[in-house]
Amino acid sequence: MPTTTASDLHREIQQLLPWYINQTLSYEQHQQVEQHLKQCLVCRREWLNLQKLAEQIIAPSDLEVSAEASFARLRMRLGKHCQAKSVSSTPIPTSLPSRRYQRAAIASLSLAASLLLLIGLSIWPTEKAMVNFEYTTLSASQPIQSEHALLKVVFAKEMSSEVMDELLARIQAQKIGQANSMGAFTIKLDTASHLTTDQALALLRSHRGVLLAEPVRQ
Amino acid sequence: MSTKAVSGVDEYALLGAIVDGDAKAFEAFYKLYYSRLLRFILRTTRQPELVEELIQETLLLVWQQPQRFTYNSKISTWVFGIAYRKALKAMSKNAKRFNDLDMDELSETIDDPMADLAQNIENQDWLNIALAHLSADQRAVIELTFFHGMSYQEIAQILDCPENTVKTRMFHARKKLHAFATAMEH
Repeated sequence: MPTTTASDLHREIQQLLPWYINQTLSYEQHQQVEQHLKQCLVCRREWLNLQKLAEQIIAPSDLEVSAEASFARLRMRLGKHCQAKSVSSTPIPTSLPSRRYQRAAIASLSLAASLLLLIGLSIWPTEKAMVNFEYTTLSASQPIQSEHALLKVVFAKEMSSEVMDELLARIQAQKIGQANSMGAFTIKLDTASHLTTDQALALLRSHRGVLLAEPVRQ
Repeated sequence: MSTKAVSGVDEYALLGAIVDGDAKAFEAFYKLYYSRLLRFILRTTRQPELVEELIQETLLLVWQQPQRFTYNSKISTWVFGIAYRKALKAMSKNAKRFNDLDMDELSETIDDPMADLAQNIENQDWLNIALAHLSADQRAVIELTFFHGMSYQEIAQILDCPENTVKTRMFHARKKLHAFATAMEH
């Protein structure tokens, strides 16, 4: 790290502080910052401020979602195209369907997948040439009991509270508190709800005013 | 302080299996990166409606073209780089809606930084409001440094910019966030 004057060094050290905190500097740089902090009150104060900021940045996100459910949705979107690439089979499409199509597809596919599961059919080919995903439906991905199901839902900004309430009434669910800073509401399904968590999710996702609906891991 | 996930999974072995068309390896890779990408994309774009699609597009590219990884960086640097480019592209498409989520708060806090702070402090949301003042690339630098624990060299590769630019972006981002933090304390 070439330095010419004390003020250059000071500025250089100030710029390196975030990576001193996350411990990714080289040994030489780390030593240099450490030495400077012993002598420089301004940088030491900045270092303490940055540490506080770092703690706040790494606070857990309140928008928890499930990788399992997301992967199941991706697989549905790809559908029958998910085949081994090594065999010159149908290529996986390079572009994905639009969100509107995706929502409709998710709703219909999850229903179809549930039916297929019920009658014991597998929709995946069994030849070794094909990729044999261990197929699980959305209803199998998140074994959450309806009576305790919590969901995170982000509604479109233009969605009125009346439409929102009507939608929640349809799935027999209640909002818990206000939306967080990212606009996500926590939704709890009523114990009397006739819908499973996945059915409620599918219904929410099929609504054009819902931008995101995910189960909350508990 | 380290936020790096110690998954114990050999990403290189997974990627090698993906090259061979192993869908199970892809599923494991997807789940390994999902939450990291979710947070990074959400913090960078501040547009929840983009997140799911961007994660899927990013990881689908890994499935379709794993040979694009040239071993000149860590796998995570490559994956985050794809996600970042896709996020920027999606944001430019949605430019008119960019940062809409906090526009009301922003318009007030720009006029008077104290105006909404009290309420947001109560909600412990000051950071999100403050982050809205940063550009997407500044937010990305903050997030990749403090949450994902990356070096400035790695971040420069992800953002495809010189290392000094990463330091400068971080410096300006810090100043803006510090102004909010100071306002919060007084």
